[in-house]
Amino acid sequence: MNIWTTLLTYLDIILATLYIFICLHREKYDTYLAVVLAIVISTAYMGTLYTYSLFFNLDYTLILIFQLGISFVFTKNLLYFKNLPCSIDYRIICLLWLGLVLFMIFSKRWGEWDAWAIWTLHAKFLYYPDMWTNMFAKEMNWSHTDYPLLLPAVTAMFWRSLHGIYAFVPATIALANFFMILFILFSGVRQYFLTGVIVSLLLMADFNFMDICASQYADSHVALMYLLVILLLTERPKGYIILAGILCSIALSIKNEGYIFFMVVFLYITISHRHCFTKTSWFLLSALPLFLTAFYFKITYAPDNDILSGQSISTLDKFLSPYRYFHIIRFGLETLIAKYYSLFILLLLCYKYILKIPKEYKIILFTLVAYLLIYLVTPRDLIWHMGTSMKRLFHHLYPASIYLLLKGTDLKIFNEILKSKWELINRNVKQ
Amino acid sequence: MKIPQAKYRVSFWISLLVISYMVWAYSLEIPKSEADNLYKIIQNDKTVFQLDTDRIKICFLTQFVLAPEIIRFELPVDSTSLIRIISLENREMFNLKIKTN
Repeated sequence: MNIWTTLLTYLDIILATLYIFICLHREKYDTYLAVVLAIVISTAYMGTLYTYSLFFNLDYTLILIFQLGISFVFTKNLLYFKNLPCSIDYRIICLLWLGLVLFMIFSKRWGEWDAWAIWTLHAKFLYYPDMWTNMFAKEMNWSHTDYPLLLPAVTAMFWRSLHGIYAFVPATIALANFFMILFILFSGVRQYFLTGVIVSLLLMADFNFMDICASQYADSHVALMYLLVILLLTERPKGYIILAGILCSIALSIKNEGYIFFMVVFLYITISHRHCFTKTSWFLLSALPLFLTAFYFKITYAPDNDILSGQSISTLDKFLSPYRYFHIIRFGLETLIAKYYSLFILLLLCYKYILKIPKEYKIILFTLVAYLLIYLVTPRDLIWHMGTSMKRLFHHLYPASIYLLLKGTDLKIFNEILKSKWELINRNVKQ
Repeated sequence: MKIPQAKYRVSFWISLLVISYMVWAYSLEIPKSEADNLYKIIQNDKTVFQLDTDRIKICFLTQFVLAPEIIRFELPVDSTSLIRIISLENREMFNLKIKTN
């Protein structure tokens, strides 16, 4: 039976990925974007199925067989690949290899503190279907057991398929996420190869970005979801509202901060399509399955959230304290300058060519404001709380901000300037 | 006849990428003597063990799954040193019973 679980898990993931890719490619989605969306959605789907097997005490192998049955209904779609041209630029693989080497330098076995004390530890519980609810014992409260289960479930799912707990699994998930962020940013500027290379190198040279990506924290996964949602809302390909709904629900199934982003995107869609309620309905409907799963987890298993349960009458005093506003703004600016300087470098490089930043920047801005408001009412020590989490909250919005900055820039001229400078450097080196 | 060099370039870089990944992934699985190192730390300075972070770290690195009444004992790298780590005194500190597979 063991070998069947392994085979079925990978077969199900591969088939689900292929079908989603085919659906998106048929709708003229960019190949890179379609690949990333297919991987993200199929993995989240399989992770959710794994969570259901734990929630409702179902045999996971039976769920896999049932899923395979569904996949076989769509088998004829696979013929689509016969006519699909397959070409990839070796320079992109070269960049990925460079990314892998840097990732290896930054990565640690089992990642950083939060990875092994929260995310991978939760995955260890989920690995044992008969004991997983021990995670919610009060002795485990320090491990933030109210955090959503999708990322630990995906890790546990792969461990179950391999029949053991391996350090390379969470590390590989983090690596894949890092590659997907690079891929998406690259696909956004793919007509301008040199710009894509510069942006990729800038990200790889950003120690803070690499450090968080390699730490195996859930923040990079949330950052990828935010980036994808912003990209879809900006580019507006066919069915973008449905995909945005799915991705927002994946974000809230990864980290609690995803709820804030979900609310902001929901308000944005509702206001921008206020004369067409259908779009908002599609957004909500597509988010519903994962939203309900997350909601079921919250009401059935999860203990109270430490920030929400820590609120009292003193919350009002905190709201009215100018000291807290001052510290949050100062700390935020310091973090932005010290840790996210590459955003300023990029801004400095292309500020002359900025035409108009897409209006989706409002989503980033409001999410940031909502994040900062949480610091205002935190029951924990403010300085400690900001010191441990603010750089990671900025990390959520960082790739999406880069994407919006590039989207608002006249990349044709910018790329020409880069090209001419590159040729000049080459000529000087030769002389 | 023209040699399709681009094709070989792609194959070369993909192979390099895959081999590098496999070496890295394998290196993550090489058994480290973490249990032994932790045992040495505990022997030298027992106060270290009382810190919450170290308690968590030991549970994690030694593949325990914490439970209210059971610690599930999973594939230790070196079981003799691990059993020593979980001395009676430390069991009290964990406030947990121990069950070995």
